[in-house]
Amino acid sequence: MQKSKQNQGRSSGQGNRTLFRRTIFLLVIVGVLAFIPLVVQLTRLQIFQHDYWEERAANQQTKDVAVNAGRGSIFDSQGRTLARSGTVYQLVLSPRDVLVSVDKEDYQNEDGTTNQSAYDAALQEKRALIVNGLVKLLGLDEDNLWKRIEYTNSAYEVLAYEMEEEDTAAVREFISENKLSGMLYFAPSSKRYYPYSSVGAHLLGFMAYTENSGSVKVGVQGIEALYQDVLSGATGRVVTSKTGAGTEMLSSYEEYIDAEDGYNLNLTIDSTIQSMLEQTLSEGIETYNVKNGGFCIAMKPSTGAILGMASSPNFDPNSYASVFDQNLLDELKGLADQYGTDSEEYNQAVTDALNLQWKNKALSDTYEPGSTFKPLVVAAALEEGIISPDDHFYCDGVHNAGGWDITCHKKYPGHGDQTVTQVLENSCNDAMMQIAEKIGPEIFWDYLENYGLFDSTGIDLYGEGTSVFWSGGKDFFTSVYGESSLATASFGQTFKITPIQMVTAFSSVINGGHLLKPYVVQSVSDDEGNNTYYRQVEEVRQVISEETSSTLRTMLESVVAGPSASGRNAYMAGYRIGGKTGTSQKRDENTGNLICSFMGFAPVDNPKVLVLLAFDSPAQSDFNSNYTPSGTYISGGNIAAPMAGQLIANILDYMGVEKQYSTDELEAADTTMINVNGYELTVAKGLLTDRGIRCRTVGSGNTVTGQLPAAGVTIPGSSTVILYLGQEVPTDKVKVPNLEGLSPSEAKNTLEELGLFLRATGVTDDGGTMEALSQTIAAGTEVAPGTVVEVRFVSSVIDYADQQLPEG
Amino acid sequence: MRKKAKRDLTIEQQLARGPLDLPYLALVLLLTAIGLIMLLSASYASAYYNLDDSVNTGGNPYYYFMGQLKFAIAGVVIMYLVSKFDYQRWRLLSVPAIAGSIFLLLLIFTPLGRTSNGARRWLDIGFSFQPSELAKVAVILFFAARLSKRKDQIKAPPKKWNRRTLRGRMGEFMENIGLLELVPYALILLIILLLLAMQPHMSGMILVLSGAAAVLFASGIRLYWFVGGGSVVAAALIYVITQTSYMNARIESWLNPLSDLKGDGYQLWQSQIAIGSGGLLGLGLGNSRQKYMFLPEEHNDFVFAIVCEELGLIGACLIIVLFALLIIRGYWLALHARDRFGSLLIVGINTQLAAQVIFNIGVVTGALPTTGISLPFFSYGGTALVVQLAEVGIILAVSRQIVAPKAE
Repeated sequence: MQKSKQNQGRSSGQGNRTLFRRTIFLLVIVGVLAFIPLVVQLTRLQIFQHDYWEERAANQQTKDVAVNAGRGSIFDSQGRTLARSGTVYQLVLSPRDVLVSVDKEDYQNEDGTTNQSAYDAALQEKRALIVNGLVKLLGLDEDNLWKRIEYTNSAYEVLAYEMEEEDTAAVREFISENKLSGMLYFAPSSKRYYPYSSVGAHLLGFMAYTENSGSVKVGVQGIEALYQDVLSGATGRVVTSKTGAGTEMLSSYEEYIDAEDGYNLNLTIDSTIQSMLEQTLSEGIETYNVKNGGFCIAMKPSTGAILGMASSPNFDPNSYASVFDQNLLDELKGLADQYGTDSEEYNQAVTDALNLQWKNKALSDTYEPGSTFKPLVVAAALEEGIISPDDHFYCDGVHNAGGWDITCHKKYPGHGDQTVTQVLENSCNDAMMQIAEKIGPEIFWDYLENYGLFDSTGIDLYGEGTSVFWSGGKDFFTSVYGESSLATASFGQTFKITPIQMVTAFSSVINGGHLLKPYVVQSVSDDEGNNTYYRQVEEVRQVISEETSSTLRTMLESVVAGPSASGRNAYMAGYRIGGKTGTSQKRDENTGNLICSFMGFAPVDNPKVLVLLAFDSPAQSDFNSNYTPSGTYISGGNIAAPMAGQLIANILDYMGVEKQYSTDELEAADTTMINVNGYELTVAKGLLTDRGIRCRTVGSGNTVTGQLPAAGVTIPGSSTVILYLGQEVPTDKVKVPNLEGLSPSEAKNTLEELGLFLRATGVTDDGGTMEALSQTIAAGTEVAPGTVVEVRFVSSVIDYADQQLPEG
Repeated sequence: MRKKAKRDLTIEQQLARGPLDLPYLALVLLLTAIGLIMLLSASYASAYYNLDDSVNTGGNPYYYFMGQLKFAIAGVVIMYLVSKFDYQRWRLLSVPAIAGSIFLLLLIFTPLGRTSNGARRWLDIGFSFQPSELAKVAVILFFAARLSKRKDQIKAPPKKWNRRTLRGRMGEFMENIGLLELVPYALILLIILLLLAMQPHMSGMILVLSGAAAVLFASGIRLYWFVGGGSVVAAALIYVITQTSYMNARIESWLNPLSDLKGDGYQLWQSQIAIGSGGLLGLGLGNSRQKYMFLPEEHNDFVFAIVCEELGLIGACLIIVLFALLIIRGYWLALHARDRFGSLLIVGINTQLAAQVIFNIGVVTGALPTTGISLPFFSYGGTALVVQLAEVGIILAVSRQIVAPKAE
């Protein structure tokens, strides 16, 4: 405004007005406007970005210490601990604190500068003390330890994991002796223990670190994985404030979130039964040189509760990462010798072996069930009224389906005329194809669905497999192209289902027609033992009627009890076992390998247990041979049935199920020897005959002077006791002879010659082809005269589907 | 010496015994008190853990507070004494003041000077102090004294320029555009800024410049000189920012604190965490968590961050309002001052104070790049507080001579 008056003198008023105006201007700018952006910025930080900064603040100001919750235990149905957690320690080193612990100020020259070499030497000495001490105490790798102790950015280097309390003592002493507590300490962590080692390993699973597990191991398989959340509980936290230097502050800003211990699981699994299954598997695998292991499931058919589930090869969840199975170890040793342990081949083999041993075949694998599937088809046909139990089917050894001639395992002239029961007893494929044809693909398909074979069973285990049926599905199956598939499906080939599906479906056939959801966890409880969850039986659907089921049970008992039935090797007197054998081709492998299986249950009138036992690929004497190197015909009836029969008997004994004898069996049943010593021979004979005991005499005279066995000893009913007339009872021990391969009568005679008694088990009568499989007292053992030797007899069963199957 | 009776005093002397401006005094005392309390809270952890290597607090959490308290009491006494001192005498004293300042600034580069943290700002002469503190006031005193007489000079017959010589014509031209008049100010300012730049002392330069510019501006120097001067300063700033790594790094750490978490960026980041986590109501007095070794200089330049954390947006705004009221009241006093000298004095001191507050809060909140300017009345620093209160004393001295409105 002064522009026009630049050259002229200013009046004082003008100057003061300028001063006034400009001061006002400054007042507005500096006193008011300049503060506005500051307040805006403050508002932005404190109101709009408050959460963001508060989180940043909390991140750095608080020390968040996780408090591990105790993981729940896993108990079997008898309350035995299968898995529990305990406290272990990990050794933590803070290289940063090692560095800090050597104070630079202690190594100053007179002029105040640091004497670098002296300082370095002191630091080196401190590190060497720690490294050497730990190498000596724990045998840690020295080079690695040096590398880690020099990584001074780190304050948390875990040197040793999962040390037991007692193992930490020496290191604790070392720490306190050398005052290293700030830089070397033990942090508690948790370890999972499986007291029964490998028993039920596949069911239990194991704990490991995964990508998302962070610093805590989580269940990665089996029940540990599926029930991770239930078992793990909620990790607690202690949040305290800390200073910028990281030390904890005693302040009001503290927060405790209590750790919630995990719940305990109570399984339907009985570890005794479980170990029986595993024992049976490993015995069978050893006896028959089974190449690909096997699986075994025991289920309570009335509820769907799994009593045991075993798979071979097995592992030890305590050290899940090492190969457990002896066969696999031998195999690996061979590779190690050949290629060395650093080779790619070896490492690949180790990985494969681990993956194999972790796999629960009974749950995850699929297989062609073979003849064990036949009862399901027969049940469907009976249920639909398509056949009746009295119908007859004629087997001529071959059946034409869809343009293919599919042979029965008994080729021309075949099984001839058979009742439905006989069809199952003979495991006749020809008749089964005829029955399936009568049922028709539509209904057959419906039954596959009703038996739950298209769906997973819904068992509460991790990693259930998926069944594989014909590509093309129902449309294909019901078309003309599906005819041969229908035919082969009638005897359980050309489709693959999981063992657990098979067991579940089969249980519906024998339990009154109820398809149940199988399960392994009976209840979930807290530490006080209060149940928070109790599993109820879940029925998926009724597949067949009670009557049909009852008919099938009777038929299946014949399959085991019939004198020449395919399942006769599973027969155990007094147990009323029903079942069905299966010998299935592994058609997708083209190796000629077979899966030998047996599906059995007992007692027939009220099944308490259902067992599926299968061996995958027993060794053949040579390629595609039907015989093992030891000469056993490879079939479910020869390999799986005897073992399954014994297993079922053992399980029933363990469960305390009362034995039921038929009249014949009763005659052969045990009786107790009475005292006839001192009696007249005729009186003695009369007394023995009254009890059904036969006798022979040694020596001459009229008075019994000795008897073998002594009074009170239990002997088989059909035994011939020895009465000594005028002679002393011999007390010299006798050697038990080797009875293997002998027929029952041969064995009986051999033993009685020696003053021993035979108790025959297994197959009782099949017309002469029986031979001794095993004896309870090993050959060569010295025993007192009168001892009862139990011998198991089996007979050779040829039920193998040696038929030519159509491709695809 | 016996006090003279009032009637024996000259009018000047009587005026100098006028009443203090109570609102202004109240604001000053209030801010000093709040500042002390906040300093106690902010410095508590630092003193307790003895974080600063250059001092030995002995783990006494009240160490900084007690030190500051003594200076505050001394400062208030000095403020009162200065306010009793007739400010007209500063007209004459301003010349030795400015000369003395320059002398002391030069003295820094003798062995008497002391270097700390890479800057040579201190003089050790029995006690330690920063000559720049004196220079800040001296420049204002000197400029105000000289510029208040502009109109008096103009009243005298203008100097005749010999228009026949080139020199004469140039001289006349330069006088007409007001350049000639500016030469002494420019010279003094340049000398002082140069001496400060050599220390280096960025914040001192800013404050000297803001005080001097305010006096020049209010005294009626033509606006285009400000435009020109502003352009030169801006150009210089741009040059410094873009061409020197020192400032470049500062700007970078300001714009992106996370890129420089080991340096200045860390401080700014921690400052923002403190402010942001305070929220609307704050964590409560004494409850700052950032002061526990997270935020560096929490009792110095960054004390306001702790204020924000503990008192929240509401508390921070309240303090900002107090500062704004103080500044506005200061300008109000300038508008009512008895003479131009008084007005210019207040404008200079007041603007300098305002600049200090605005720059400090701007830096702490991340709105401005780091400069190292402390917050008046709050930041720890005894001499700074005493000088601050002494400056306030000058303003109060001016307020004494304001002619009271005619009573009815």
